[in-house]
Amino acid sequence: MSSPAAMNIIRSGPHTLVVDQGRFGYQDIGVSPGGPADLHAYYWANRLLGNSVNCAALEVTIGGAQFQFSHSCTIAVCGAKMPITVTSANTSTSINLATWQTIKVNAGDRLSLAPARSGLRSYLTISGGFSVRPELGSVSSSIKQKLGAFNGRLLAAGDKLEYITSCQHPALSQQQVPNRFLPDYQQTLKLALIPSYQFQQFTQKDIDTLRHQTYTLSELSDRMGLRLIGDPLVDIPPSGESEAIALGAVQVPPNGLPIVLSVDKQTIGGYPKLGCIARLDLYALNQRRPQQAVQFYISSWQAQRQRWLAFQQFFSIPLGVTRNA
Amino acid sequence: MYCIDYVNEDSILVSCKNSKDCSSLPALSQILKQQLRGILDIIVAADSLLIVLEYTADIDALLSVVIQFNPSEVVSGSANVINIPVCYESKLAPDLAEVCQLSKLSADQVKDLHQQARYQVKAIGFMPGFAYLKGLPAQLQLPRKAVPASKVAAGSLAIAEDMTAVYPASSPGGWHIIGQSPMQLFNKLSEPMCPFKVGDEVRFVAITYQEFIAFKENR
Repeated sequence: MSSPAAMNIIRSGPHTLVVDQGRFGYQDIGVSPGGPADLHAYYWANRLLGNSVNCAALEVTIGGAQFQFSHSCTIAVCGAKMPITVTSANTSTSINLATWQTIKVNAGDRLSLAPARSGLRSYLTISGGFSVRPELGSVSSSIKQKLGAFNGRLLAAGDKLEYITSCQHPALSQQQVPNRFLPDYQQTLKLALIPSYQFQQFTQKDIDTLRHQTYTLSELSDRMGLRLIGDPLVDIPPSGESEAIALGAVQVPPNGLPIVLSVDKQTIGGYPKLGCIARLDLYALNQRRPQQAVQFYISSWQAQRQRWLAFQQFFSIPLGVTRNA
Repeated sequence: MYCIDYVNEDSILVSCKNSKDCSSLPALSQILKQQLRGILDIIVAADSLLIVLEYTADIDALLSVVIQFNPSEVVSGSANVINIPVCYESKLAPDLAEVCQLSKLSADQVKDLHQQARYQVKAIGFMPGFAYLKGLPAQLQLPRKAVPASKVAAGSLAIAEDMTAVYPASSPGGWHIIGQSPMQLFNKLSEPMCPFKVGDEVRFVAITYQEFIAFKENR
């Protein structure tokens, strides 16, 4: 019996995880959903290959990773601008490729993702998806919770991820994401705040401080939360009864510096919260690096709900069906 | 009276003030799960619950369930009682001496007061299987530590403010550790994975160090 098709990890890079849409249904016992830090790039990486929206992908942070494929396949890399090199097993020649497109790989080829020039995280998908056994309904790695692929740990050199060659689409033509959909991770990011939770308990002066300054992103930011550096808010409402934390919640601890709670957030907390930033802005924020600039503006639930529905509906329709995509 | 707050695009926070409304939140959560499609998660806390929805879910239908829900119709049956074995020996209680000093109680008094009280699960979160338990006697109520410990052991029994809890896994922690439980409070391979539900009653059963070791070896 021949061995199954697998992608071998030759170099993992500093922080590489397996992700799908996330682990839902267990927040009532404290299990955080996790999933892609940037759902936008993750969705595109699956969409280019005609995969279902929940197909397992690799989230490669910063870059510096190398993979080898045992069988020919089609892959895609979307997200941070990591220079891509594919080195042929037969000829030892290398070609350089861009992100946000499909890439054909032959048996034995090596794929290298160099450190990102802009953005932080890339999503590597494979036609048909990687075969990973889910835990609690999801393959998403959760290091702290020890859940998901490889018991939640970071991927390491020597790990293998199997894929199904029979599921592949031999007729799949070269696909790339149209320019108008490509994000610019260098821009100053404007975060839409949906006022909620304890927003009304903050003073107008503090809300003005929030709206009128440019924060920079702290080094102490990760998949749990993004810390912002700037002029602190001064009249912080007292911590209340612990309550559930929604994705994107902007928590203000006693030091007055906001923390945006991200995909690996804890499920319950007591610090006062200004509301939540729009989901799509959270994903863009998760592509920013320390020192990058961030601003807030006050938006409404209705406006951000419409934006979210449009995003979800767009990705729920297969690629071939959309107009001009 | 329940307040409804649209906290993000697909999450709705239902909160309340009076105690009957609050104690009926687990029942409301059950009804929502039974009657509505497209619910990803419901997280119940002491005076609120958060409903996380798929983008396709019918929010109007959800609102009408919440508006029509009548807490006075909730029959408060007898709560589940969960017994948690705990060893209060000083070698498993790194903060016991400090708690004694701050509360002006002896180690035996701390243990007796803590062990005789009845607790209620008000919320589960922070980490998988971490239950916020209310009912801590007033004499044991202390503020959180000024400087959190960088690591507390799995099973650590902790107190802070008016709450007690057992850390299911090792973690940084800002609560005072007064003992340790050998019981697993989150296990992804068991069913249920976590022994608690919000609303359950919890009692602590004091065990000796020998019993603690034996329990750990047999679990």
